Amino acid sequence: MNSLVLPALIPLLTAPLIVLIGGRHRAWLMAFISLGAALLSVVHLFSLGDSQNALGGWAAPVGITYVIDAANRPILLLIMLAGLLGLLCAPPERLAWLESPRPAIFYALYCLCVSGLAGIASTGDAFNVFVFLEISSLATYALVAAGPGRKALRAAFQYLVLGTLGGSFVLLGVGMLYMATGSLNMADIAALIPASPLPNAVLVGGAFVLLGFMLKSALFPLHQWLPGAYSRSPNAVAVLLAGSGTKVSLYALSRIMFGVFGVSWLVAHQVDKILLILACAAMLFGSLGAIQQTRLKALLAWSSIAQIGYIVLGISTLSEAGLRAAWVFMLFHAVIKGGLFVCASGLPSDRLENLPGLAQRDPLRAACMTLLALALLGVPLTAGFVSKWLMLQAAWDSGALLGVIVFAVSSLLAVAYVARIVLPIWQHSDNTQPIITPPTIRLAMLLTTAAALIFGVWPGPVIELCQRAAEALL
Amino acid sequence: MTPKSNSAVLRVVTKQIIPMILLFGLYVQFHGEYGPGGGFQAGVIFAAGFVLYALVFGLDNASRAMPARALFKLAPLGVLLFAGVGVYSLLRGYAFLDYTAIDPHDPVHAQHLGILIIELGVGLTVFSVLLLIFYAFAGRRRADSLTHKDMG
Amino acid sequence: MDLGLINGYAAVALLMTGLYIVLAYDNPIKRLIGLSIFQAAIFVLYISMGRIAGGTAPILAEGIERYSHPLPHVLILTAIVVGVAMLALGLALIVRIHEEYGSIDEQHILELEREPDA
Repeated sequence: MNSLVLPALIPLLTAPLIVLIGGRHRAWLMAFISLGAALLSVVHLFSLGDSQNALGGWAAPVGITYVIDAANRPILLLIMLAGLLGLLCAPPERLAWLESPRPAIFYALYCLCVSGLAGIASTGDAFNVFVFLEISSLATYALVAAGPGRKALRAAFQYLVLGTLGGSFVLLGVGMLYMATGSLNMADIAALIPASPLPNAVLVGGAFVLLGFMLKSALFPLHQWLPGAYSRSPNAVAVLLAGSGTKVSLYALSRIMFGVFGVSWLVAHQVDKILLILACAAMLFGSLGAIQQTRLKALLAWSSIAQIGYIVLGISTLSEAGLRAAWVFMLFHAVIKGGLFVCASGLPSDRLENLPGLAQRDPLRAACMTLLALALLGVPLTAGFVSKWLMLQAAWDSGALLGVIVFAVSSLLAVAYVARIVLPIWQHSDNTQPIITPPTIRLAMLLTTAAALIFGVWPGPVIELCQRAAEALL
Repeated sequence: MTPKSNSAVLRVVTKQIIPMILLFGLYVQFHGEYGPGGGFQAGVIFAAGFVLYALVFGLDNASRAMPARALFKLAPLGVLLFAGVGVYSLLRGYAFLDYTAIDPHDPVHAQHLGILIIELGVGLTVFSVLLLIFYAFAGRRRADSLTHKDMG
Repeated sequence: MDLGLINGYAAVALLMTGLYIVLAYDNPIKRLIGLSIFQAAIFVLYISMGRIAGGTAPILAEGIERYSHPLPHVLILTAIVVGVAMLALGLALIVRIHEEYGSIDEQHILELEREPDA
């Protein structure tokens, strides 16, 4: 039972060790081994079944508990895989632009960020969520600022201001819920809410917590921090953030929604309708924004805003099918978008007008990028198709006609921006100078592309995993 | 941060006062389980003593007394001390940070010892991180400091 | 007006002041100040929540039976540490921005940014 803390603990312990020992090559190796060990511990959790662990031997509701069930196991798996994928894109020799006298700190922050995300996913205590949220956020701001070029600094500052606001909203909301129920344990709060003497404090507290997590998950119109944070950060960080950052916030959002408030409370306060409208706006404006971008990573970031809309559409149905679709979407989108950011790393230029000729200069990268972009679009036989199909079904079954229509429009718009990536890649260009891609990045590209294709043909196990996650949440 | 204070009064008083600040920091650190205080407060007070020294005698002297390189080692050591207690209890088969693992025969004594050790870790880390933050800001090259226009 | 809720009103006033400063000003240092005020308002709210009528500081002593609730204090100590870290990181970023652009003035930086990407 004590192994429940390991996914968050192992990277948390590695961070100070890295600072202590130093050296960028050793640091990379240590971070890699630590995330690998954390991944093994997550795999071990799959064999454990649903379980709880009280920190320090203080039982719930007084102490802090860690809760592992079907809903957060896939998320933990996702975090560790995204973390490893990101590390593959940041072998130490690629961090040449980092002028810091202590480049090892980059990897220490990276481990802290992963640890914070894993903590959010595995804790059952509302205040502990805030603490881990801030651990991962503070590490992320610094990681974004480590990006090449001075614009990374301004993107990081923008993210810091908005992210701190989001974290503070969560803190405020948790405080109100504590005022209304006298407990910080999520399961305990859920049991105490119906009898709370302060129903208004519950309402306001719930609104603040949900608002905070919407900001953290970059749900439109609270998305302003995302394009800068994704497109200016080092590629490894972009892979980690796109793969797991916003997904973990969405997980926390659903955990609070279903684990603390419950469906009847959500319906009574029309949270489902609010989420549906925001999801539709995100799908529409995310895709429209992506079409207008001139840089590859910015385009991918705006597309992520639209994809967050898709996921929230699934959550807003408040149904088992919708949550299952949301979980499948999160997992598959992490693979696809993570893979695309992997493909974007190590490109000599980030601008779209420099894409032509890529097929001659780096055929493997061009092929992977094309397949992943098609998967992002949702072409049949790719993982993207499975997730979009499940989502469409869930939205249709729940009767959210508006959602279905916007879903279709947004998918059509996606054709436009995916074409802006795929078509130029295969155009001829006079520049035929080959691009040298390090073997670790090649490996990461191949792995994500293979996963996107294999799960497109054989999605059964993942869907079943997500089915159980949805059952556990509701 | 190069200009040192030439005021004799300031220098003499500071020299008298710094040991007291550090002593008070230690008191807050080790008396934390009985009264108000603990690692965080103690770390802040301890760091304040060194900040005062740096303000009066210059950053160069301060970093000779407490080099940044040492602080970079102390900060992770403090975290490891804290987490080490947790890992130790995990390895002994108890829950993470369950101090009973330190002395299973006398749980009250174990709680006592456990809180003392982790607060020491907290104190070390807070002291070194705060001082590092101060060094980082104070030691920054100020060739063109923030102009008045920037602040408006 | 119920004086018992005065801390609550103060917290709301601080909350709104902080949020306004964060959103309305361009100057990054002022925005950080706004963020700090915003967080301080939440601290006030938490600490007030721990008050128990007639309670003293939560330190065991003879002859005292009522203590104020210590848990919100502990929670807020954590949140204060987070706030300090945020402030230090934010100011460090501003120093770096100033080194790179030679200014922290948002208008000035936007003019510099007109130049195309490297």
